[in-house]
Amino acid sequence: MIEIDVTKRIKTATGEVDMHAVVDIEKGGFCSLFGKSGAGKTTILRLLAGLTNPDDGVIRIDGKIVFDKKNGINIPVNKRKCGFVFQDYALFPNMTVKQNLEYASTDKKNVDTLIEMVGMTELKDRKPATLSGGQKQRVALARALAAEPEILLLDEPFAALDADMRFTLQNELKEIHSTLGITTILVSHDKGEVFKLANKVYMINDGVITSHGTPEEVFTDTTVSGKFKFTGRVLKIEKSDCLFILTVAVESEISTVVATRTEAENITVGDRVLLYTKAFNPSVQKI
Amino acid sequence: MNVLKAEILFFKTSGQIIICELNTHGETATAVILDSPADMDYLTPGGHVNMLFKATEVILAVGDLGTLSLNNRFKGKITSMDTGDIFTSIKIDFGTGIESVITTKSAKRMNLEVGMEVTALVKANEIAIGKII
Repeated sequence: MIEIDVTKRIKTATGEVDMHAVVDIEKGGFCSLFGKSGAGKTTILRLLAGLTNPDDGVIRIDGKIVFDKKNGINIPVNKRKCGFVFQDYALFPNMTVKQNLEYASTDKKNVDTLIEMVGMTELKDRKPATLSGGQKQRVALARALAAEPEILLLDEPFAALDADMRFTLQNELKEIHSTLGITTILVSHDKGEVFKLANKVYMINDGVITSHGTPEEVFTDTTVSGKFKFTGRVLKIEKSDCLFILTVAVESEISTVVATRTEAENITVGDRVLLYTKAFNPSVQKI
Repeated sequence: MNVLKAEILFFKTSGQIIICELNTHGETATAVILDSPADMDYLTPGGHVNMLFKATEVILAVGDLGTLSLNNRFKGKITSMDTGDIFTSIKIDFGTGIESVITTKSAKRMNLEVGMEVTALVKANEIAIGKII
């Protein structure tokens, strides 16, 4: 169980704010910190890992105090057992895949198992420069695990990868999490990723935690019963016959929706809209 | 989108599917939805909700309906028509307004015009239930 209750002055997109972060994560859970860039998500990871100190408050890991401003307790980074994976991999360029893991490992015997777990056995003697983005991130994940962390901290790990690779690595991460059961915290601004991986999410806006709960509770609009709901941004509105055709960007996909005059009349290009239909309507086809 | 205020008469669940009987402006209506009543705090008998359904899913009929599977039948008068080459948008009043979008071809075949009495038909699984906000 991780219990964070701290304040920290941070710079956000709208200026400086005193962030009050109250975050509880059960042991073995998968939690996501969700929000725009500069909202304070990464700061929470850094506070937990001990890379940045809170201005005030207490952090407990499994009941043990690792930071307490009032009592002057501050357990150093290397004693907090946090493994970090960043968006930009941060691998040692002069070392091979295997050497990268050995350097970080607490027990060299585990290195081959971890390399196999992330499917890099064939490439274990390669240097990072010869690997693809997805392969580098697999190595970064294995290296973080080699130090046998109690907490895995992932800071937008898949943001630089293309959609297919992101999808594959998300599945692998889910598998690894269920196998090893390490408490994991993922910083993300991708709702689909959060839905897929996390069992708890904290939504952060400009240094303020605005809501938390399961991804369904936090992201789903509960005012309409539709089960097929997406939010998107209107790119174009065109009149066709007596109807209107709306082009809507949903995540990275473009959808077109037919609207009647009454539906279209209070919508303008650039508006955020909710697209929904009944769960009975979509047809399903295996691809 | 048609949005009709309605009173919940009762509902019944089977697994994740809920069938909900409603009264909207004196007509009974049935909605079938996929949800959990626990997530819908506004789903209580006697409570008021919005019934939502798309105008393109509203069927129109004239005269005797014979035997039809459709539960939701709203009889009213046509108040306005917006005729396009392919589609026609028709507004009907049965105590409240309803919009139906059908092909212009059908509207012509049925000789629809303002003032005519028609029945608007909606399948129960096309109706969503929404909280009134």
